[in-house]
Amino acid sequence: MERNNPIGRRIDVNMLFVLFLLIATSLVAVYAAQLSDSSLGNIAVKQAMWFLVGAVMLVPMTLFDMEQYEKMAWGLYAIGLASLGFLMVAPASIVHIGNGAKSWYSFPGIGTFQPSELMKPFLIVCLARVIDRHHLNEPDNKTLKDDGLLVLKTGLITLVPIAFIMMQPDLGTSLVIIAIYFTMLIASRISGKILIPLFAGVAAFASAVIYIAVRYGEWLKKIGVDTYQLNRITSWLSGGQINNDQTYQLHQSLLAIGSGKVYGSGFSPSDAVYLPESHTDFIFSVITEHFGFIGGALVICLYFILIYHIIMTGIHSNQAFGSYLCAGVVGMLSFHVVENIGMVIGLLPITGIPLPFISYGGSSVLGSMMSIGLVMSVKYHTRYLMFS
Amino acid sequence: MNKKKKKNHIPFRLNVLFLIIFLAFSTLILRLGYVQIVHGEDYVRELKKTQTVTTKIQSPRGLMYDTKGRLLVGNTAKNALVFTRKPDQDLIKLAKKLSRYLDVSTKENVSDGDLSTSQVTVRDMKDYWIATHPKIYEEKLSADEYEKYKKASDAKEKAKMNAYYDKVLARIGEKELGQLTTDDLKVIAIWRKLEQGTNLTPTYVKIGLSQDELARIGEHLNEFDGTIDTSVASTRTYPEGHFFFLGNIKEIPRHEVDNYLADGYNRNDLVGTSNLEQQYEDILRGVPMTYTYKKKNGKPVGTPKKVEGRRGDDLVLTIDADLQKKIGNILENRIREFLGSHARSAYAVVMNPHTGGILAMVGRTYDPATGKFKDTSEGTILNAFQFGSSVKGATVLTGFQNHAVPAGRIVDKPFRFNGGGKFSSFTSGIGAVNVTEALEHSSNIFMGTIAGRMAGFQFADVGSAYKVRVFNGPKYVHAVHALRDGYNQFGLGVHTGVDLPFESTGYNGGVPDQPGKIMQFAIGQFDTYTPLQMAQYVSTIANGGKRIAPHLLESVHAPGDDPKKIGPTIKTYPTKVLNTVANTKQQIDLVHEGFYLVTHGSGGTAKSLGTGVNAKYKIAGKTGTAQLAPIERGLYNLAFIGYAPYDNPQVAVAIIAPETRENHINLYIAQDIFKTYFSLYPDQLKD
Repeated sequence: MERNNPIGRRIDVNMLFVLFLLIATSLVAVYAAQLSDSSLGNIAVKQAMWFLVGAVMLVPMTLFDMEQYEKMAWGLYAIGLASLGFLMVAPASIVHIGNGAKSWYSFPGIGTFQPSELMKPFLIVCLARVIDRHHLNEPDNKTLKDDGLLVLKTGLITLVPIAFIMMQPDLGTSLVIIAIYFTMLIASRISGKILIPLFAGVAAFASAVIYIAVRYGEWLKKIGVDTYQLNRITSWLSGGQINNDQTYQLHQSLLAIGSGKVYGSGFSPSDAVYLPESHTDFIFSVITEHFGFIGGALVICLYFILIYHIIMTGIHSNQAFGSYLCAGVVGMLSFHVVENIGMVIGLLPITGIPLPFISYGGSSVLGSMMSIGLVMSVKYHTRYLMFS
Repeated sequence: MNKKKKKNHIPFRLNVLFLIIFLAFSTLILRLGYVQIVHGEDYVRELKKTQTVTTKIQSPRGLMYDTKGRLLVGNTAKNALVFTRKPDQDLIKLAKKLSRYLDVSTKENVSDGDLSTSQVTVRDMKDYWIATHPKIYEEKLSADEYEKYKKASDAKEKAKMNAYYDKVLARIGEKELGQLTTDDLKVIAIWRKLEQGTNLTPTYVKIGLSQDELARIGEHLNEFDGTIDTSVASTRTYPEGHFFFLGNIKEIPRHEVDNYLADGYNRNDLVGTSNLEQQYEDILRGVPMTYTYKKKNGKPVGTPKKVEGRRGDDLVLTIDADLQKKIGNILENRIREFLGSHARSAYAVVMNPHTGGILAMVGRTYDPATGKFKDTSEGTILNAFQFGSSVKGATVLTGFQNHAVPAGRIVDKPFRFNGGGKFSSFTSGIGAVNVTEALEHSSNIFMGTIAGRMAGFQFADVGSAYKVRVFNGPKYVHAVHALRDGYNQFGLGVHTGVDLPFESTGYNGGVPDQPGKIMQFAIGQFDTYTPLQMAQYVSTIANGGKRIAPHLLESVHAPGDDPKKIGPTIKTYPTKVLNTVANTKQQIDLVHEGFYLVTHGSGGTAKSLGTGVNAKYKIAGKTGTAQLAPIERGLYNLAFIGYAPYDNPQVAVAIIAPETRENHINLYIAQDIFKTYFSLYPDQLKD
């Protein structure tokens, strides 16, 4: 049957075009960032090379079919965990510590690499397999107990990497993994009777944490909660008015974005705002400073179109495993985009996660491209039945 | 097909997910619009206020040329190393690094701004030793002192720490300093220059970099995090001599620092502090080169953005440097010639009576102690003298304004005042004179009559003299003011409006107690005037009654591409008419005629200027001889003011030789100046 489907239909050209536009945006934005901070060197070229590596990787990833991914699932999960675990015990010579987090391997001559970026797609594959197998094996008249068992199983699988990542510590990536877990639960057959109370509970818990942080901040510090974590919340809620490192970043970011106004400053070196991490986590500030509201809104739309294509691929897939993969990727990308952009425009607390496809960084580029590889594979192996 | 059956929940679930994402993204765009569109302007405003800090380095100043295009003020440019200090910088590390690229001389005498180990003082060496040997405190202080020092240091008590620093300083001796090598001294020579820099104010580390040094530094410039740069430092040169009116550039005077800082200067900038350099600071300064740093938490970070400056604009002056120098020689030669009759100094101003353009302003003073001359040209605007009868042209015209000039002739014979006292002309036997003859013979009696009539005095002819009844009532007071007002119309006793930051206006004697003194006032023996004021006065008569502001600036020019040529004109100094005297053309022509008779009439007091070899210059003018108290010394101010040619005045001159005997040095100087002037501008003699 597959032979009846032409290649053109099995490869989502529109999605690839959106991806291409995002890559172009990345190169322009990274170049703008390096223009205003000469200490960065020529990182736009390095970024282009990472995209090239990622693009080459897309080919084999597309050709693997669902059965092969299902077979590899546990292996990938194990590799991901091993690379995270080894980071904790690795000799200092091959570890890079950035912003106080032990999140990177450092390979002399090649650069640094962040294993948690790979853990995300690997976890998606693993969770997809576990959910798919669970639903295949459960009786037709499944009970809430069956669903609860799945929530626990997948929850456990998710918690192990989170534990490793929180040891680095890296709150942002941990939240991404939680987001992946939740979106994949939504896509699974787990009954709404479990999901709705679950999400409501999580929302209540998060609100309580924020409330306590604001109301009893001093007390929390006394019992040993890191000031750094508290500052994130207080600076976010203060709109950049409190003077600490976190609010300073937010304040600078808002200045850069705000001064871009509708059309931005263009490429003229209006590099008057000093932005820490302008090429990585705060790349969106650079885009909106130079290209204004129009540029910023366009980038958000590009992400939206990309996610639309992934969701359509998930809906049209005739293999549940493929749909779960797409849901995981959607969860991962959307959380990245919403949290990253949300934090630089002062909507959400600052957590150090990159803007997928655009922020500078090899691990981030590879992780994001891998997730697109999964989606392309789902599309490529979807069988369009003539008479269905 | 089992799988397919179990999959039908997925579209619904994924659509729910899609809806959530749609809402989240919409929120992002709304918030982005709020930040950028609603509050964009606010952020732009705040950005301008707080985010950058700019430092400046001066551009080369504009040049000055004389009216014939000769360079009067130039620049010599030298390559220089500029250091801009940032807070908390390790200057020793920087000095060590720079010492690898910079040559430091070991010679005693080096040019300004160059580096030499000879500049290093013992104190510098000791400071350096302490800075590079932190353990020195432990060595040099007793155990007890060291404990106390550490306590003070931990508590950051600056005063106590300084006291211990001084102790250590005193205890460092030959033992330590002897260990310093020549290389160390070179580092110290650089270090002490770096230490002189204040935060964010660029300072020169070394002026006069060789091409080798420039290349070495250039190669490593990016390693200094923007604190080191190369630039061009320039110093002023004066190829034709440092004429006083060119002015000086110096560091900003302490009491004016705030004003200059507000205008965007640095504390250590050189600015024009006198005369033309000060007057035209804005034009000469140009646009400084700027380095803009981004600020992080109030501190500058990263590599600054550099914006090249622009050299200042050039000035072309009305001065003729050749004439200026030649008149200097004339004054020296004539003073030397008349040293025997107490000639000591002389001043001359030459200007164009129609435009006010000053061609020369020269003064020379003989120093009997050394036998040499001093250039006292600034006296032409700063020193005021009694110019004697040279003011009589103004007296006559003021008399006309007050209807006090006798219509016909009056006989020149002494006044005797009812309260005692005498007033007479300088020479006797003048006879009966009308207004023009009164100028020709310099009749004091005629001028005294004008002043007396204005003051309401009563005259009675008693044969050998006139008896004068003087009054000191309101009419007299009014007359003094009226006379002074009349003189002011010619520039006597007021600012001339010259384009220099300071000029003297002379001494104003007020209303004299003895009413008879108004007559002294009317013959130039009461108030004092500067040579420049006299030049303005004679120009006003020469041009037919317009008081023109004298000026040194002719035009402003943009820096040209060709350094040998003057660039395109930006603006030309306009002729400024300050006022017009309140006299008719006929009245002014009478004075012209009187001034002509001074040099051409049979009884003229400067006949020599109108006859013989001088006849061709067509000089008209007025002499002045002011007798100086005490009379026993026999000293006079000898003055001459005049213009030529009398039928079409092209040049006006004011000359004074103060405190000399009656040797006619004023006329000799006048003759030489006109001769020199017309040898430089022969065309102006033709019709």
